[in-house]
Amino acid sequence: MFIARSEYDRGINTFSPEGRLFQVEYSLEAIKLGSTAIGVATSEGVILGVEKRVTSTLLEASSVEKIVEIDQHIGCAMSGLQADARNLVEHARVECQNHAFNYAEPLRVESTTQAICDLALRFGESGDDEESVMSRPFGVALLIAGYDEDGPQLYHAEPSGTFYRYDAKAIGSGSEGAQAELQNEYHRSLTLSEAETLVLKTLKQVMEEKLDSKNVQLASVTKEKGFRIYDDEEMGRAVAQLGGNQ
Amino acid sequence: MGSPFDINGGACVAMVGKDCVAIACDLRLGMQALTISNNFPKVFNYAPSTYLGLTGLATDVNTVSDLLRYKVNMYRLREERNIAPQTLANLVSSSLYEKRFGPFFVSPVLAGINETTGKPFICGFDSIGCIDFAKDFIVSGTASEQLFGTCEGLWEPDMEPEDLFETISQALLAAVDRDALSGWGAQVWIIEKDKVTQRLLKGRQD
Amino acid sequence: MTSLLGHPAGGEGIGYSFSQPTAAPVKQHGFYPYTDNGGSTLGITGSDFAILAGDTRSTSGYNINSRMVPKVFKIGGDDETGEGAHIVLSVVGFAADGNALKERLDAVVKMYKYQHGKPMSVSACAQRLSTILYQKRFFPYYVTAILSGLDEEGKGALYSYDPVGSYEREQCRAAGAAASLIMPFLDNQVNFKNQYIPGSGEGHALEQKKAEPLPQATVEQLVRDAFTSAVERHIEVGDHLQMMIITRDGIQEVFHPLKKD
Repeated sequence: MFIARSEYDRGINTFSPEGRLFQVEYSLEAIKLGSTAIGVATSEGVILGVEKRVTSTLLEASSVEKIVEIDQHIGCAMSGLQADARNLVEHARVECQNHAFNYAEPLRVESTTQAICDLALRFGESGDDEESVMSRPFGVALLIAGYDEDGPQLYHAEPSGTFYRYDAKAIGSGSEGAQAELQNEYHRSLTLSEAETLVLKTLKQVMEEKLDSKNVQLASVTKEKGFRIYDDEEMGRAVAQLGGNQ
Repeated sequence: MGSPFDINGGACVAMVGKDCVAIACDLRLGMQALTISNNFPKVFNYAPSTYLGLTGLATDVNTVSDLLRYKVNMYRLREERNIAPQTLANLVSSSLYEKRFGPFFVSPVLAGINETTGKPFICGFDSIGCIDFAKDFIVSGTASEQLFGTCEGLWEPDMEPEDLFETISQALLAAVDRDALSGWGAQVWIIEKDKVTQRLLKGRQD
Repeated sequence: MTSLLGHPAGGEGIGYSFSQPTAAPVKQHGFYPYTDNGGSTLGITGSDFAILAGDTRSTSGYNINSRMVPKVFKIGGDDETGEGAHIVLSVVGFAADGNALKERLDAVVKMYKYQHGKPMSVSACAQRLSTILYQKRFFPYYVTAILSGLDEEGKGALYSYDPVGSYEREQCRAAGAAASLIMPFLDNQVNFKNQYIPGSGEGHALEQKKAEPLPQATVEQLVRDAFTSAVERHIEVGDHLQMMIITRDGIQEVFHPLKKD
């Protein structure tokens, strides 16, 4: 198969003369179209929050799943192409279960993140003996929250395959404003319920719709309870508390 | 089916101490893995201070012990004296060798004190009568490997009767607990000059 | 090949009265990839240490291949000498499989440190060894393995395996040719089986002597006694005693002579 390439952004794995991989950079743009997701790490645990974008009154809000469990001690929030995220999450789940089977211990949060990023780079034209998983880079970013022997941690993983650990991080369409807000409000002595409020407050500022208990979703990771997605009752309480604080 | 020596199970051990000897056996009688009885002693008395332990095929244990009873009784009647342990050893040996090509499936262990010399004596045999004279201990039965280990580890020279009792008991109990075919209690005889003490050990019942 | 005698090789040329085999009988080929190389290993743990030991004799049948083939290995060290390791593995049975298993586990432990940025715990290593063994469920590594180190609390840890990965954490374990000799001795001397507290009661009320961790010097002496006893009665055990003593300060390896007959 031969395609004449005059533009550097056609080839998936071709550098431009300026040293850029356009398709990877475009994939980062895809994330900026996604709904906002926020993670805040405290010494007690990590809070994840996402905006659900309920675009129609006919849409069943509970079917919008943007926070998912990876293992008992790890969960993640996503922004971007959800279908791509499912591939990554499935891979991470398998890695976690494999590790537990082989070593009788949970996989560390950093190792889980690394496992996801390993998959993120497997795109492009397949070589002679290896088969590539994707024809293009993933169009999704993840906020990975977990608890292990090093305590509560929050990681941000991108389609470029790089990841960083954050105290607080926002991704998606409202990420710029949200990140600035987090920068101002975050401090190391945050409690878990303060983090809950901070996430909701920040989401509220960057969301176009009016925030209620149906169009946002929260989840937490703690030492005691591991990863938990908030149910309707807990969401109601959290949103009500936000109203009370302001 | 396995060896005839391993069908019924059982263990036996003899040890030398200072002016004393000890002999002990387990009490199990089984058919392969099934336990038939927990009261099947394998040590028999042939003179006031001479004892013989027999492990192996239970029917041969009975036959050989009865056959030796017959021969020892005849010896005592004709000689008008008790049989010495050394003499019994040779009697056992020649009796077993008579059946060189159709042997009794038994591994005898002999322990006693010679009444004239006052010296302790132990020995063991293979099933066709080859005598194993040992200065320290003799083991036999399905737990013989285990007994070799425990006896080699626990035995020391010149033990007094109390220490000898403790040593042979611990050696036997530890050994039979690691053998599925022997155990279910044990009997121990401590033979001193002019005194024999018999003790029953409960042990694990499984 | 042409016949040297100048007549056909088959029987028809000469008038034998008995039947001649016309074709070679069908040969049965056997492939026996396993050998028992004898030897024995033994591990005992204490409150803050673990000892794993083995003899260094290697046999095939009644032959002695070598008097110096160690069965106890440091796993996951920083270099070839095993410096920096905190886990020890002993393997007894088929030496080639034992070596292959050791190399594989060593590689796994080293990779783990690179991938997860922390040394592998003994419990994690124990589970991994089990899966490695089970992966070859239908063509097993013909070895009895014992894995030892210190657990997360700093206590001595010891895991014993069957050839297909069934495992258990124990206080002590003997494996190999002389296992049946050593194990009951250990039951009695380490776990105080069949030992009772004098005067603690009559009959069933008699109290069992509690097994508690033994001091290091006692354990070292027990290991040496167990091996000198095994050497006395088992022909496949002898030459040298190799001991790995695992403490918080690292792994100390010592050799003692055993009888060479």
